[in-house]
Amino acid sequence: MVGGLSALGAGLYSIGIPTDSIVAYETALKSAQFLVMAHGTDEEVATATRILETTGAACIAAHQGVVVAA
Amino acid sequence: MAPRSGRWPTAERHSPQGLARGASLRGQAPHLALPSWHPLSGMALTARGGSRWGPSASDTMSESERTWCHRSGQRVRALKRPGPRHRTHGLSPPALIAGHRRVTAPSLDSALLACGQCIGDVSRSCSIGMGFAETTNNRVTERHGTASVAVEDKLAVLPPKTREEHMPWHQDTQRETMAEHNAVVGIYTTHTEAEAAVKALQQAGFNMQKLSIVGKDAHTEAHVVGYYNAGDRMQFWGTLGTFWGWLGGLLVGGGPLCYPRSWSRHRARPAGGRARWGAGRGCGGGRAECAGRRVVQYWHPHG
Repeated sequence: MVGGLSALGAGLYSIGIPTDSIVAYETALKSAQFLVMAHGTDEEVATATRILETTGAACIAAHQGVVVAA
Repeated sequence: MAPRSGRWPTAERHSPQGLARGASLRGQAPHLALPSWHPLSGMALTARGGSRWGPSASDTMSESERTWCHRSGQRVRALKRPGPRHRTHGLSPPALIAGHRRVTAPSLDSALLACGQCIGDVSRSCSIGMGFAETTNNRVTERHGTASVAVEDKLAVLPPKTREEHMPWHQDTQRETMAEHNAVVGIYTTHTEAEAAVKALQQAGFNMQKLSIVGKDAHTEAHVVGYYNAGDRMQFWGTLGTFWGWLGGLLVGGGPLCYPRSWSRHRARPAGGRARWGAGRGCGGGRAECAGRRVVQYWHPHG
């Protein structure tokens, strides 16, 4: 568990979501929205970003090179 | 010119010529140079400045290369000379550490025998009265009935292992704990759009193990339900509705992970065939974690 984050926030942090964006995503979840997250290498994330852009997402944010300390 | 008296002449001892001679003869730093003559008998010492590792390296020894032996409390000298390992493999050279020990025996022969194998020959010895002998690494002092051999061993000490060499698993741990992650997050207002996004990713051949979806339960607004994949792990929070059933099967590659209510929520249970009992059913709150083949269940505060 990452200090200061909820269980969900810790899970998001462990897959490379920066802490400043976690609050925004938790807010979106509380407003009955859905998060679809893809993580992996740069190429995989770029591919997933292109696919998600065609699916009518309200917001798409790519986080690259986030160093996560467990 | 070596004095014949037992004490060093102060002028001779502190003069640059005397220091230089002592350093060159004994192969040590000038300020640590032993006298090139015996302090009592005045006999000149003969020392061969060299060893089997080549010529004496202590001529170039500086103050920083001198250290203390914490085990014996003696001052030892680390002679940084490139060894065969350095020349052949290009690795850092082994350090030559001079270890001092003294062996006392009733006779010179027994003392030399007791001190073990030494390098070089006894160049000078005296069996009557007080005398000494100087070898390459031995200093022999003999009295009537006793002989003392001070041995200066030059030990080749390999350089200390690096952190990766000493703990090879630590590098993997470090890579795991300080990994660089890339992620993309899409926010969808309806579950239909989220479902379409997941299907699009699936049709594009995206690895479903690297896909996560989080959202509120469509039936119970109080609980946040989500599938979370991080490598081989999968975590599930909250209740599992029918809508999320197919997502669970999609993300974990099998059936969605669910547990019967009769199972204890406080005890971790191993994975088994019953771990996938509740596929597609609405189950009680619980948090399941699938780590490889091991599945454990935790109590959920909102369950």
